[in-house]
Amino acid sequence: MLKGLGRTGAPGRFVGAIAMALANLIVVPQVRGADYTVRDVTSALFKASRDTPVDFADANLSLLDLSKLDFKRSVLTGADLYGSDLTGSSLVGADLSGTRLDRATIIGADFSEANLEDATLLRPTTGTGVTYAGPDFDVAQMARFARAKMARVHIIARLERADFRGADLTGARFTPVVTRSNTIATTPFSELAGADFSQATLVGVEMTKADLRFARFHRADLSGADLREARLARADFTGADLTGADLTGAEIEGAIFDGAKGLETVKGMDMAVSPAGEAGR
Amino acid sequence: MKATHSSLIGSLHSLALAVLLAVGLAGVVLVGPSPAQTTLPQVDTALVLAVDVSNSVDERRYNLQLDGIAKALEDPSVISAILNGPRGAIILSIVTWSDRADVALPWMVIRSTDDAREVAARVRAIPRLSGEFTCLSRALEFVNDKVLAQVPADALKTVVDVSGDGRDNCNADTSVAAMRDIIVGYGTTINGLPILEGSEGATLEQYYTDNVKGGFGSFVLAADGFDDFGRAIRQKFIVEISAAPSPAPRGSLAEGPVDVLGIRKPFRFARVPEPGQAR
Repeated sequence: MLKGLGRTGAPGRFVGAIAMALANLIVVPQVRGADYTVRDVTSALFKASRDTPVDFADANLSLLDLSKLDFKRSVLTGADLYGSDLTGSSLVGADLSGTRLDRATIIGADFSEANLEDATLLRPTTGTGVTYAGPDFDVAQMARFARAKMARVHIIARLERADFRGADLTGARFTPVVTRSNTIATTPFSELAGADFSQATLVGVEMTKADLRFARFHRADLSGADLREARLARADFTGADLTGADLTGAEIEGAIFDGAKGLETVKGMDMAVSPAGEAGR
Repeated sequence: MKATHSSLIGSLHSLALAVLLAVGLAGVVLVGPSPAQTTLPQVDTALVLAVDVSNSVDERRYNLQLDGIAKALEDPSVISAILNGPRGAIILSIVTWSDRADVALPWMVIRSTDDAREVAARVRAIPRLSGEFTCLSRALEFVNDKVLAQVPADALKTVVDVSGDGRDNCNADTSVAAMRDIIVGYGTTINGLPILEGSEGATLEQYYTDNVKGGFGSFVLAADGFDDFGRAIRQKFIVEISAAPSPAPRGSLAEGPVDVLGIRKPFRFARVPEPGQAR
């Protein structure tokens, strides 16, 4: 249809270009057909080894059932994994930098030691919906990100009790950002209750309004972290570095700050509140 | 810590030694997921048994199917058919399916009577999984995507053996016949074992003939109810194992993935960069 407009001459081409630009704005999110079949991917991974991984760089793997696969440190740089099913898959050590994992199903997926720098993980399916503190919560079903490189990753997700131990989350964002082509940005804030960020690097991380109740930040580096209005009740910051962090309006009832560094430089500590509205320290 | 080249080679040697020991001691190899690191076993047939465990298959019927498969594997005629093939071995996997499909028995090599008995014992020990619907198209999709895509053997022929007591009732995006055609496009033969019992018994054999059966030398062999399953699967085994391979096998592991839908860019296998080396 738009091609036809192009044949009417320069004015037509101009109109066509405008129409195309508008169409690009309206059609969100963009999902096109995958470049490979599931059988292609499975077969390639089966034949690969960890020292000769498969290169899926920039490949469209959206909406594929990639569950229970061992990616054997595959290169997935810039790949599109929108809506793919990664349930129970091993992405240990994989290069996922710049990938789109939005709406993917990541129940029990293992991203340990993977490179997720500049990746997006917006509204993935992460579990069965049971409450993290409930008796039916199976922590084995939660995705794992231990020691992953996650600088500048953008996450909006329910990742309660997820394992982020030792991960590099420098400049990561856990907050919705309104973008031109992203209806997903209307989602609630990240729910990370009980998540473990022990020894993680969270320099400059954005966790505004995130639910971080009972989260563990043992010896984590939170310098410059944006924790405004975050729910930090009973979070454990033992030995963490909070130099220059902003806790304005955060809920800190029962939070533990034993041995935490840089508390004197924390912004808004005096404005942090308990759920009852009581001023903080 | 990164493994050095020499330690990696050492690990491979250890792995190969472990595999050889497993062959010698147990007689059965549960083949691992890294064929690039091991020599693929040479077999005549790679056989997938796709077994219906939907709502209509109660515990008695489930046991009749599994016990029927186990007894067939122990049957002297079946063992003879296996051992007298050109390569004297087959590789077998079992998938159970209903709402969803899953691997109930991972790929196992049978190249001796003891192997067959060991696999039969494992078949009898498969825990019962059940579901509600008869999602035959999804089962074939699973077999295609997750089982046939990783056959850890160099097989002269690949056969999928579908058994069930009803037609697909899941309204999947891809029809049963279309999934059949995709699998057959890779050079695989699909045989049907409809179990003629219940409300669909009168029409199921024709349904399997029209929608399930496909590929070189394919056939449908019906069981006259669940009590007849053991006889049918035994007969089917012998025919399948003894059958000649397809004259133009496609999609074998050695050839790599076959593109049945058109030209696709090939996969690239990249070396892992050394520590500190930019990609």
